Amino acid sequence: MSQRSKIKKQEIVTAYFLLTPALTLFLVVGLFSIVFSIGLSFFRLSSGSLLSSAIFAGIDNFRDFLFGRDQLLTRNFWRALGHNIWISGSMICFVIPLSLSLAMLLQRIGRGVAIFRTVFLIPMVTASVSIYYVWTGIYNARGSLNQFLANIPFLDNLIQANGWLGELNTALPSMIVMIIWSAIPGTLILYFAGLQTIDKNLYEAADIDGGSDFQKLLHITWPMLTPITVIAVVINLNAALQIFEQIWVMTKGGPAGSTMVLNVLIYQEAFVTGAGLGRANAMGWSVFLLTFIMSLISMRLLRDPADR
Amino acid sequence: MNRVKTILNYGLLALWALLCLYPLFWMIGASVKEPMDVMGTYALFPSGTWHWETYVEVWKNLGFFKYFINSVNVSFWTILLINIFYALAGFAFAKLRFPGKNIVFFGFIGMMFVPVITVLVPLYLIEYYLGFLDTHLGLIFPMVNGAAPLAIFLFRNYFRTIPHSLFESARIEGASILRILGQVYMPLALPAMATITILNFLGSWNSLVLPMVILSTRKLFTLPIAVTLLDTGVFRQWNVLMAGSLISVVPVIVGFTALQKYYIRGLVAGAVKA
Repeated sequence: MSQRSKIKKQEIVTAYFLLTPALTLFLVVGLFSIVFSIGLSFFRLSSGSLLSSAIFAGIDNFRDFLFGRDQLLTRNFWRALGHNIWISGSMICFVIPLSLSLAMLLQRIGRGVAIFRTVFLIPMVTASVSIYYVWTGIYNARGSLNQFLANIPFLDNLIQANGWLGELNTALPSMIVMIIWSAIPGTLILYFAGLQTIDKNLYEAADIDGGSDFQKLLHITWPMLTPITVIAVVINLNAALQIFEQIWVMTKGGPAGSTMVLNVLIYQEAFVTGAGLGRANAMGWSVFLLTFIMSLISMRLLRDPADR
Repeated sequence: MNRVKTILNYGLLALWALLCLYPLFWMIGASVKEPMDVMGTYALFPSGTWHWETYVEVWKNLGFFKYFINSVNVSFWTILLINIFYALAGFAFAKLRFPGKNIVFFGFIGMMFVPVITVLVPLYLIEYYLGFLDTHLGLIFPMVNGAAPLAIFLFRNYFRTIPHSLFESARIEGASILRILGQVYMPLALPAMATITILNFLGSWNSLVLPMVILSTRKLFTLPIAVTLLDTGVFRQWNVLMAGSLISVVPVIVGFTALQKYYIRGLVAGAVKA
């Protein structure tokens, strides 16, 4: 064997040696779960029963929630999907512009950048059960939001007697406000990092040509940040379609299903009512497909015009 | 005119800062109030005495000391394994040539889109057969695996920015690949490790759904489920609930504030420029 091919072979052996821990875990925990779960979505079994009792059901599980084979489940599924879409839309419409504006304001100041940056990251850092309970308290019937409104003339008719999460028409918007609040830091910090990579000379050139602040934003900042906007849209879209913990802790999908989202429905189907592990998996992969397609679409739509 | 602009600028930033801090202050205030005084007012802090003894109650009598140690245990091992496993893998993807490289790489990256809630069912079944159910290892393994896409991506990008000539000259001098990795690349990868450590500390510390499914023994619980145990439904003891909440939130705030400089630097190097 020549010296050269020996070195090559050594490189291959070393590479797979280095990948062994990661690959082992991936095969056992990752790939197996994924394949198993896709497989399960074509079988009928309830969570109490053994795997050996699984019956092949073809696409029945999908027909159950997509085409009304199970009427109640179909209605719940489409309603939950609608809520997820509302959340996605609101996240993209509010998180992106608010984060960019805040990042630009932060970029402009001389003193105190570090302290503001630290504080601005708090909603992301604390995004957990603890902070969801705080918002539950703020939205409570006797919580600080209602108490605050009670003290402002003309705003006291906004008070929600059953709490902001207890009324059919305010529960979802209240959840969305909280979701936006905790999603801003992640996007803000991406934009903040991105702004620092823009060449200052571009702005100076625009100053010489007499460009206004708005023109600079439109023709320099926004196009230069397009790659980050793509990442931000995909991340927020994914977060909106995968939302679970907030809803689970704060409303469990209630009142009367007005904040029900897909993942809560799936979790209930699989672990709470135990009505069908198969159906839960089928719903989960449908959500995955939707997330994947929407991510691809947004990447195409936002692609740099120069590459097109 | 410029002065007005500056003041407006600071004003808007301060307003948002206040909105970021408000829930945290609410949490602190509620935890030291009398349980009956939390609702029905918008005053953040108690008008009378501050009841710090609620913390003693939660920490000692309600077992939060134990839950805290459990959370530290799970997060520590998760972060350690993530850094070791995916630094090795990231190095292989960045510097070595081997068959199947692209397929394996995109296999890992593709996991990023896998719906967590959905794979919980098969995960539960596998852990049942392997005997990991209701153990901390049963939490650590899926958490480590879940971190793979981003960690591999960041390590690979980071190793790529280190000049390849360094690798080649060490090879010519006869150093083995493992030695080059250990003595040259690992020490240079510290900023990438800091970013990955922060991100996964947040993820593992705050995780609720995984422990909810995997753990059933109370003495193994991590802080997020422990906090949900304090939720007594309609008649919530807000002071106790908020004291438990604050205990679980403080470590991440402290950790993140200390390391955020590296996090932002790592983002600029690893994600934004890539």
